[in-house]
Amino acid sequence: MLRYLGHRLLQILVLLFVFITLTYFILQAMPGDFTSIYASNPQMTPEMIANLQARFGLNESVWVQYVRFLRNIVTGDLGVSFSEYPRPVWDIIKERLPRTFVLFFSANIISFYIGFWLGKWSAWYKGRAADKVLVTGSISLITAFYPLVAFMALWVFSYHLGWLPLNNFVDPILWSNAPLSSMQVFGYIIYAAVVTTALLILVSLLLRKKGVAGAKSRWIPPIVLGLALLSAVALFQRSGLLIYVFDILYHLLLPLFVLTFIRIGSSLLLTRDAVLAVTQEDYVLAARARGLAPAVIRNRYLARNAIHPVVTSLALSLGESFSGGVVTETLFSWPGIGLTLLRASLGGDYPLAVGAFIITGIFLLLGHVAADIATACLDPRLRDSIGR
Amino acid sequence: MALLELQDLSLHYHTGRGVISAVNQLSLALDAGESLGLVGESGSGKSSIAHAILRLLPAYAQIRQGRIYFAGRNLLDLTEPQMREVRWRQIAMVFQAAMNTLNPMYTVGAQVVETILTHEPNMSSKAARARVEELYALVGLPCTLLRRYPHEYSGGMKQRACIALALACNPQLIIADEPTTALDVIMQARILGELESIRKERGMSVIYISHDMAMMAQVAERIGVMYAGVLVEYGCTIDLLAAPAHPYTAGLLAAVPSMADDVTQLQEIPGEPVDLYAPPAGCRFYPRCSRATAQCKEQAPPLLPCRRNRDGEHKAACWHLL
Amino acid sequence: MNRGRITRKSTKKLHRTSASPMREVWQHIRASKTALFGIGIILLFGFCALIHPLLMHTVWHPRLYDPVTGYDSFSSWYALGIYDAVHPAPPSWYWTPQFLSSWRTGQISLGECLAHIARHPLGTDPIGRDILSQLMYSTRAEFILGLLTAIITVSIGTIVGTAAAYYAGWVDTFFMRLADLLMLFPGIPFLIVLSAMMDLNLVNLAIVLGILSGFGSITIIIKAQALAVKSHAYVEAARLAGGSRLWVVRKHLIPHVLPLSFLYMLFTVTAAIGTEATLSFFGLLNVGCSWGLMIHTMSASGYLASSIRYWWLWLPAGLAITLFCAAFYLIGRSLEQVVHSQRQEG
Repeated sequence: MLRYLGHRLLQILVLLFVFITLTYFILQAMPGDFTSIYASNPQMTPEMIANLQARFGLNESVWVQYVRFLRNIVTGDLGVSFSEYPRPVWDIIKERLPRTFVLFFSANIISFYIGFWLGKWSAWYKGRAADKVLVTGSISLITAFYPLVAFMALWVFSYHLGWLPLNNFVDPILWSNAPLSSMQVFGYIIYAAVVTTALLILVSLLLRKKGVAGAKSRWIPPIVLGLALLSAVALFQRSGLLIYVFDILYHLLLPLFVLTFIRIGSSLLLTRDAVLAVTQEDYVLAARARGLAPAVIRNRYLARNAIHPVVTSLALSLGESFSGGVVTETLFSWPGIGLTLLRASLGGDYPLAVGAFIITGIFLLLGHVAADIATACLDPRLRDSIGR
Repeated sequence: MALLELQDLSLHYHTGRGVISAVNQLSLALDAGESLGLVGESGSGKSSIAHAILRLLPAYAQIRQGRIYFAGRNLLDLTEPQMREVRWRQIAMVFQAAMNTLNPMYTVGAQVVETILTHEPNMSSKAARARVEELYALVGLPCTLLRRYPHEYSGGMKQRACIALALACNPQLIIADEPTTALDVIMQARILGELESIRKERGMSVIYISHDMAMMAQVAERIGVMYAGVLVEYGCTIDLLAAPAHPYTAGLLAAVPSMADDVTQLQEIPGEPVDLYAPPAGCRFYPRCSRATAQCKEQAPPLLPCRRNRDGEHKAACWHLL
Repeated sequence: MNRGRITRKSTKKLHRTSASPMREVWQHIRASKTALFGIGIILLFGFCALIHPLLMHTVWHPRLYDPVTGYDSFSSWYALGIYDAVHPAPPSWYWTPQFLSSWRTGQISLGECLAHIARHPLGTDPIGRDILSQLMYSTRAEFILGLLTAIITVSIGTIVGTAAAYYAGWVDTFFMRLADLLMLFPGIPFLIVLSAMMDLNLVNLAIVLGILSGFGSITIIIKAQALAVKSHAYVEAARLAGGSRLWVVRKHLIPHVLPLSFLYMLFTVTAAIGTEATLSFFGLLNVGCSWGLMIHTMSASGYLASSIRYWWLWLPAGLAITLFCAAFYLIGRSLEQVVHSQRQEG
C-alpha cells in the first residue's frame, strides 16, 4: 500500500510539473506581454515601457523567466494581482477557494446520494412507468443548457417569488457592522461541518464494528447529526454570529439547489446503467436462488457491486468542480475560484488568471487520485493487488 | 410419493428472432434420497429445467403448460415470498464451477452466514458461524478461508465452498448444474465423491446436470437423456448404460472413449443440433438418426417402457427402439 | 509456405463470417426508436441550415433579416420603402421631424425588440434582429463546430489509440502519459484564459477541443478496446500469417474499433456544442451568431429581469441548444449498449 502511494505521489508530482510548465509556455507563446496594454497610451513613452519591462524581468530570456516562475510557485508565490494591486494572488485564492469548495462539495455529495438512490430503484423497476419518467428526466437534465436552467431558477425563486437572494455571497448591508469578516465566519461554518461529518463517520464505524443490527441502531446516526447541528447553532448563538452564519447559508441555498438538481441526472443514469450491468452477473442469479430477500439483493448485491463507477465519477467531478464551476459561479455571482478566473481573464489580470488556473489543475489532479484511492478501497480485488 | 415430480412441462423463450421451444412436454419423477442425472448436449434444455424448478427463469421465458410438484405442492402456484422460502431451505443448487456465484464484495463466510440467517432468522449469528465452520470441515476446507474473499479461492476451493453453501440449510434436494465441468479430472472425481457420500449420509436427493456421460455413470442412480428439450430415454443407470434403447443414447455412449476399446473406433453423431426456433414436427432427433422412417418425420414418439427392462422403469421415446 | 497462405485466407474468412461491426451499428440505429428520434431532430436542424440561405435569397430581405447586420424598425421600412400590404405604413408620428432627428443623432436605438408578428414569427432581439433567422443561421455554425470537433477528436483518438495498443513500448508510454496530462487540463477555464489572450473563433475552438479530448480521454478508451481486439485469436493468426503490421491494423483493428469511435464522436458533438454555447454565452467567442450568443445578447441588454415577458429572447435559443445536444446524446446512448456488448465479445 505504501509503495503504491509513493509511486502514485511521484507520478502526481511529475504530472504537476509538466502541467505547470505547459501552462507557462502556452502563455508565453501568446503575443505581447502585459505592457502591451500601454502601447496605445500616449502618456507612456517607450522608455517608460522598457523600464517597466526591466523591472518585472520581462526583457530577460524565456528560460530565466521560466526558472524564476517555477521557483516562485514552489515557494507559494503566485505574484501580485493587477486588478487588486498590491494584493498577492495567493491571498485572493486563499480567500475564494473555500467558497467554491463548500458549494461544489456539498452539491456533489447530495446529488450523488440522491442520484444513486434513484438510479438503484430505477434499475430495479426497469421498464415501468416510474423508470421511464426518471430516465427521460435525467436525459433532459443532462442535455439541458445549464445557464438556462440557472436563469430560470434565479427568475422563479429570486425575482418572481422573492424567496431567495438574487446573487452574491453575503448581504453587504447586514455585514457592514459585523464583528468578523465573512471569510472568518465562513471558516467557522466549515469547521462545524467538518466536525459534524467526522462525528457521523466515527459513529457509523463504531456501530458497524460492534455489529449492532436492527431497527434501533438505524436511528443513532440521525440523532447524532441533529445533536451536532443543534450544538453548532447554540455555539454560534452565544458568540452572536448566528445571523451572519444564516446569511451565508441563505445565499448558498439557490446555487446549491440548482447545482444539485442538474447533477442528479448524470449520477442517476450512471448508477442505473451500472446496476443493470451487475444484474447480468451470475452471483445475482445465485443470490436469488438462495432465497435472499429482494432488499438484500438490491442493496448488498446490485448497488454494492455497481458503486465502483459511481464513486469514481463522484471523485472526478469533485476535482472538476473547480473547472466546471466557472459557469455556476458567474451565474450566481458566487465569488469563488471560477468567477475569479473569468473576471481576471476578461480584465487582463494575468497573474490572477494563471494562479486560479493552476489551482484548478491541481484540484483536478487530486480528484483523479481520490478516484483511484476510493475504487481501490471499495473493491477487495483491487485492494489486494495494491497491497502487494 | 415422489419428492419432485414434473408433469408435462413445456417451456419457451421469447427472443428477438422468435420463440425457442426449450423444453417440450417433459415428465419426470424423483424419489427422496435418490440421485438423478440429466444428460444432454448444450441447448438440450437441462439447465432450463433446473431454473424452472427454482423459478429463476428470466422474464422472457414462459412456462406454457405443466406442473412442478415438490413435496406435494405445485411450485408454479406459489407466490414469490412463498417461493423464497422454498429456495435453499428445501431446494438448493450448486452452480457451474466456472460461474461467479459468490459476491466479490463480501467474504465467503459472510455470505454463508447471510444465507443461513435469511432462512433461520431466530438463530444467533454465533450459532450460524458455528454451523458454517462445521460445513467447511465437512467439505474439507480450512476455516481460515471463511474470512477470505471469493477471488482468493482457487477453482476447486470455490466449488467446495459452493457445496458447503448448498448444504447450509439442510435442503431435501440439491440441483448440481455442471458442478465439475471447469475443474481438472482429479478434482472432479474428488468433489463428486464427497458430494455423493454427503448425499448418502444425509438422505438427500440430488439432480446432476451434465453433458458428461462418464461422470453420470459414476454418481447417478438413474439417468434421463435429453435431446432438444425432449426426454428421450430414462432408466436405471446400469440398464441404460448396458442396453441403451434410444439411438441418441447409443450415439452418446459410443462417443465416450473407453480405455478397453481401440481409440480409432470413437464415433460421433452425424449432423447438426436442432434449430430450436423451428424444431421438426415429429421426432426431434430424426434428421440425425440412422433408423429414421416416414413415421418418425410425422409423429413424435411417446415415452414408453422398453421391451427389455427389469423393473418397468426403463423408458424411451422412439418408434424404432434398439 | 503454403501454411501461411492458408491462414491468411482463413483469417479473412473468419472476419467476414461475423457481420461487419459498423454494419451491426447501422442495423441497431434503424431498429431503435430513440436513435431514430435523434436522427429526426438532426435532419430537422439540417433542413434549417440548408434552407436559411435560400430564404435570404428569395423571401427575406437582407436589410431586415440578416442574422448579424439586419434589423427591423420603422426606420428600416423607411429606408427601404417597403411599406406595402405585408409591411403596413408606419404611424403618423413617425414622420415628425423630432423623431427623425433623434433617430439620426442616435438617441433612439436602431431596431426594436418586437414580439411575435407576421413578419417575425419568433420576434426580434433587443436590437431588432429576427430571432428565427438567427436561429436558423446559427444551426450551420453549430453543425460545423460539432462535426469538426468530433472528426478531429476521433481521428486523433482512433489513430493514436490503436497505434498505442498495437505498437506498445515507448509509443504507448508516451501517448498514455500525454493523455493523463491532457485529462488534467481544466477545459473551460483553459478556454477562458485562452480567449482572453487570443481571438477564439469556431475553427480555433474546434481544433483546441479536438486536441484536448482527442489526445486525452478518447485515446485511453480506444486503446482499451484495441487491446481487447488485439488479444483475439484472429489478429494473432493474421500476424503469424505474415500480414504486415499496417495491414493487420487496417484490416482487423480499425474495423473493430470504429463503432466505439463513432459512439464517442456522437458524445463529442454534444460536449462541443455545450462548451461553445457556454463560452459564447459569456461573450468570449468571436462568432457572428450562435445560440449561446443570442442568450448573451439578451442578458447583456438587460432583459434578464423581465425574461418571462420576453420569452422569445432566450427560449428558442435555449431549446435549440438542448434539442441539438439531446439528439446526438440519444443516438449515442441507444448505441452504447450494442457497442459495449461488441466490446465484451471483442
